[in-house]
Amino acid sequence: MAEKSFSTHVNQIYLPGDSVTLSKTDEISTVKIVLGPGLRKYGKQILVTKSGVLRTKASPATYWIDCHHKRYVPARGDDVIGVVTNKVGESYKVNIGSSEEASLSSIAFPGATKKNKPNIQIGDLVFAKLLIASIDMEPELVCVNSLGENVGLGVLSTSGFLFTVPLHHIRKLLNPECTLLKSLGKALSFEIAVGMNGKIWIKAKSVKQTIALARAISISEHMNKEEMNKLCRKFVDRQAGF
Amino acid sequence: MKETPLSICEKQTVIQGVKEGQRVDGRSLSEQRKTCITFGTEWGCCQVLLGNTRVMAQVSCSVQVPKSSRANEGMLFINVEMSTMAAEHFEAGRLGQQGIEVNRLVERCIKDSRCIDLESLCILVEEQAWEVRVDIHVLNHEGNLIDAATLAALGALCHFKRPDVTLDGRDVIIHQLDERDPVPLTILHHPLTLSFALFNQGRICVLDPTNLEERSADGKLVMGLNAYRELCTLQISGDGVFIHKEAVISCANVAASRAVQMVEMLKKSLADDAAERAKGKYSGLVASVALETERITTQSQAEVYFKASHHKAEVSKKEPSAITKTKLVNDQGVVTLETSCDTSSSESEMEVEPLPPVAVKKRVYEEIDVGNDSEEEPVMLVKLIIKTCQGENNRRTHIFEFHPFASSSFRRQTCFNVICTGGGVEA
Repeated sequence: MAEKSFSTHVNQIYLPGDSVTLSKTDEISTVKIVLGPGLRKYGKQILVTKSGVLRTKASPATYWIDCHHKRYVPARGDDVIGVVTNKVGESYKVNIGSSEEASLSSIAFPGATKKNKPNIQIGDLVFAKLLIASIDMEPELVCVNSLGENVGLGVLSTSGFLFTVPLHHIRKLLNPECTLLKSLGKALSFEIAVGMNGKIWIKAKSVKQTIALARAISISEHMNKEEMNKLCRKFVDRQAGF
Repeated sequence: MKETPLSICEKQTVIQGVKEGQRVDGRSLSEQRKTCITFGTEWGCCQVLLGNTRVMAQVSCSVQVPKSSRANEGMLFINVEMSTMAAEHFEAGRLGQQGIEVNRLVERCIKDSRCIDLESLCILVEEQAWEVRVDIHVLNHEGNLIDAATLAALGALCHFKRPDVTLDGRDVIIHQLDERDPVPLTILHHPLTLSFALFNQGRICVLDPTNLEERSADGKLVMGLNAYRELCTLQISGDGVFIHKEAVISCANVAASRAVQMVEMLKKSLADDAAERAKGKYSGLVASVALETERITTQSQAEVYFKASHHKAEVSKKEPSAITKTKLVNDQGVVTLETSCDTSSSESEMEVEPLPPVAVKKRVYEEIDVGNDSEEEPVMLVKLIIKTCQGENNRRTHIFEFHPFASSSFRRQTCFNVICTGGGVEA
């Protein structure tokens, strides 16, 4: 009973080590199936590597495991927020919460050349994209896209606030259906960077507003849509002074 | 592991906020976090929750030869243990600099203030005396370990009872706990520490700092006080820290009034604990589990409830049973969950059905009553072993082994994440 076919067992709970095999009917179809986080192909089997609930998305047929984790495992293409801990030669060592510190080259910034490098101090925050994230090598970050253009990555201002949130909450916040950040934006104007490694950087006009926003986001971790709307309304009222 | 580095913006936000009187978790500058004191079933076991900082202390005693310099006194030994469970940068078995600071401050507050009457611990002068040992375990580090550790140690010492001793000439008879009631220690006064983090060149003092505030602060001021507003300990630490004398006086006033409240809270917890024990339905440290606010779920709402369901038609060819009755059989600490069906020939199955996602408000669950007779040592953790065995008649029995949890907590609607893939999983 550990081997099940995909379509019948979405929204069920799986433990690491369970295998999900394609049944004969699935093999015959030529639909491309994309395996997301928590699933790995191992020969003919598909193994579950994280404990959680199996979820699916329509097109392309994507399957992944929704899990509740706090520790970040680097994945290529993720945008993360890291703290610069050291400068080693031409690159910086950045702590992103993974098992190894990531490296960020000092010329991986928009408009940077060997003679014109950005001024980054130890303790600064960088919002960067993971270029290399494999289990065998140290992760590598970049702050530009492949064409060298500025895509909103780079050093974050020191006048904001950084806080940590579990990874599933990050994914919820970044989901286009989640309206929390937009609703909070109606009450206050703020700048926010959400890192897939669980870190959120936020900057509002004053420290008080920044802290209020940070707390509102942290509290909404286990809330559903209705409760989040209620929270936002309460937030708006408080900011207006009621 | 190394500690996660502190970024400039976190430090600046804390410092700027404190200057405006605003703390990151919304407290005021002289407000302490929510304090919870719970006691275990063994005498001398105390757990303190100071916000998210969790510390547990256990007191034990043994008969030793007293020190020659103080031949008519017993001994008090305080030991602090910090493992990687509390914070990732703590080394197991070895106290770092922070650990030594905590250990020393708890010793100074409790030992040096002479709050325990050591002379009453002497049995035979120069030959036998009680050595009371306090082991403090830091379970979670979220700032202000010193206060939590001192409060836990004090709570444990107040809660502790040692075996009764009678002297028959020169023969010493140490009575067993069931022969004669154990005797509490003589506590003369209740000293506690209160820590302040210092900001803005010592002008601003913040009571009960969190980990982030401690790391961003210039220094720390620790005051040990008792309920009579007497100062027992005073320490200022941090490199290059300044403090103004007005700040020290105002901190002392804040700390003194707070210490009075804390000692009252401690005495009330002790009285509540004694009342619970007298009633007989004692749950021990389990009471603190109910105070947990963090819930681990993969779904955005509530918990996965255990639901006894009809078995699926595809698994068995036999006709489904009507209502499967579940009952718990407590057999010497091993609780067996047996399901009986109306028809003996059909199978009964336990399947976990996950909650349908988000929108459903209805909660269907079964109250599982363990029964009131588990009197063995209640263990904090519940070890859940699900075994599937194929008996005769092709009846599958799922056996859940619980290591005895005190019954009163189970009476409440306990929910536990039962993850079962149906093939027989040992979790």
